[in-house]
Amino acid sequence: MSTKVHILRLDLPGHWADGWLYKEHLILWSDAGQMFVCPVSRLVESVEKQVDHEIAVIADFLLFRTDWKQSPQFKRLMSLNGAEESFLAGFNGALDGIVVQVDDAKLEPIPADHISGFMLDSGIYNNCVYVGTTDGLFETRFDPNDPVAGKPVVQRLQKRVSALTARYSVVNTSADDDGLWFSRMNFDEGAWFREAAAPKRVADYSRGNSFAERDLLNYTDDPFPGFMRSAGEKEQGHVDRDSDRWRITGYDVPSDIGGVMKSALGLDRVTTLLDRNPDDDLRPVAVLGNSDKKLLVASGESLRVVNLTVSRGRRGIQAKASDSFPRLSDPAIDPTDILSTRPVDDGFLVVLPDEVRLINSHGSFLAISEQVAHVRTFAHSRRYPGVALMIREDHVSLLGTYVTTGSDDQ
Amino acid sequence: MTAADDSEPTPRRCRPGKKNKDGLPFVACEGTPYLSLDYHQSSSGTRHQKSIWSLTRPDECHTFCESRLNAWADSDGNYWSVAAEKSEDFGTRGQRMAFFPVPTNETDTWHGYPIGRKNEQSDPHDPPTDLVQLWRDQGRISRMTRARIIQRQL
Repeated sequence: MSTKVHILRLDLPGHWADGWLYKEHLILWSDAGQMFVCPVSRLVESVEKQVDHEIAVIADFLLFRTDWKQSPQFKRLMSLNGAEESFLAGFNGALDGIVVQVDDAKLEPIPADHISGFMLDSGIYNNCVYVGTTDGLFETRFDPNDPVAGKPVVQRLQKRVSALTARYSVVNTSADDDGLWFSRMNFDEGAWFREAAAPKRVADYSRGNSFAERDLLNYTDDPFPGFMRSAGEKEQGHVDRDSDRWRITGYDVPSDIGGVMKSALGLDRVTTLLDRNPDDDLRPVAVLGNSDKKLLVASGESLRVVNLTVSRGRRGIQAKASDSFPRLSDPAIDPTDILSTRPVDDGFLVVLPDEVRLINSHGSFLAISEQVAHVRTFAHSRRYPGVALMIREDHVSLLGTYVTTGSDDQ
Repeated sequence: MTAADDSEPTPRRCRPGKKNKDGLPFVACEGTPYLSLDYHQSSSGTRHQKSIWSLTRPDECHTFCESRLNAWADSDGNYWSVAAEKSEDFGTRGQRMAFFPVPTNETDTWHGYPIGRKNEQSDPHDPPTDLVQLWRDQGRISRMTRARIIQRQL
């Protein structure tokens, strides 16, 4: 089987620190910590002005409504003989994909206090905006019905924030040596900024954190993240229809998943020197990232995916190497060089020092061949689950992909 | 666009002395004593793994002088350096930054070593963000490198 990844990329010029696609808006932060916004419809118009109708349609499915691409209806339509070829005709065999330069997005500044420090991460949930910087955690609001309305900016934590996640009505903030902090969101639309919300420390050390469905993985310097089982309740009111209706109320202390992970990877067996693959033994095993309970693991020179299963009963946490995601060894990917990973579609984007690659069950594919400062994906978004936003030297890019497989003799 | 280093080149002012049991001493800029330690120039003969310069000893000393003369210091008085964009790595494991810890006594000899946050977890701390921004403003590093340093990924 030969697999091709067709890439459509939109490039917007400028020096940006981070960005989000949220409720039909592109939100960007400048290096100086100011928010800018433009409606996605403006990007659609710009694309339609510049490219053929065929590519504009592809952009709809690969960038502006990737939920359509992932829908069973679309997949069924593409199963018709010739449908996929017609859909992809706009690529016209372009090997490096299609790049559309968008110079007329007219991003509008949101008149609010600038966020101080260098941005390291951000999260948006139910119109609540959280920004982690070298100076701390900041909270503001975004109103999609009045996007350029300035809102107060409140500092919630005065510690370097290396990563944050915002979902299920809570914010989880990783502050390295200062620990992992948990805070509940306040959805009041009135004087929310006057509330003295006090984040609660729930782990001693945290380099990063990521939701594993409703539970949390706390990444430290250990090879395996700590698994933090959550407690929660159904949300009463406030949350709009775009958001999950579950409120996490707290986490258990982190559980060690090293044992079940090693077992899943076959690393707990007693082996003789002759049995060993020297590369596997000399190089570290470490979880690089996750897509909910799908964990991407570096094992020797290979990448593996391990699925966690969590039960509330006695069996606790179980791990099993994925059958659908075969072991991947690609000379282009040295697992020790991987800087970060992000879930996208059925795979991961892997950020390397000089490029970003898409890895999925079909293999490893170049997504962009240059340094990027930051990649953000929107795996739990309603409209943009298949888009990657990339912060580059002089641009921000939106990148969408479409994977085709076919027999080699075609 | 790539960063263009528009800072003035630092004159080379390191004068080597006579090799001793620990390394090669230099009289560096402003008469500062600097010692290029053997265990940061070669991994042989050291029990614990140290970071190793990929620069020659004179270039190592010059890197120190460049930091000192440009006042690339943190609030404790430690000096920092970063390899200019597209120049060779400082360390044998791809390290692009260097750290020169302030000696205990003012008259003590300085030394330094290459550091990279990605490969070594024992680095003392981060370079100050305003220093990283200064490197960027001087065109020594790109925005991407600035981000990588601040994200502890360089």
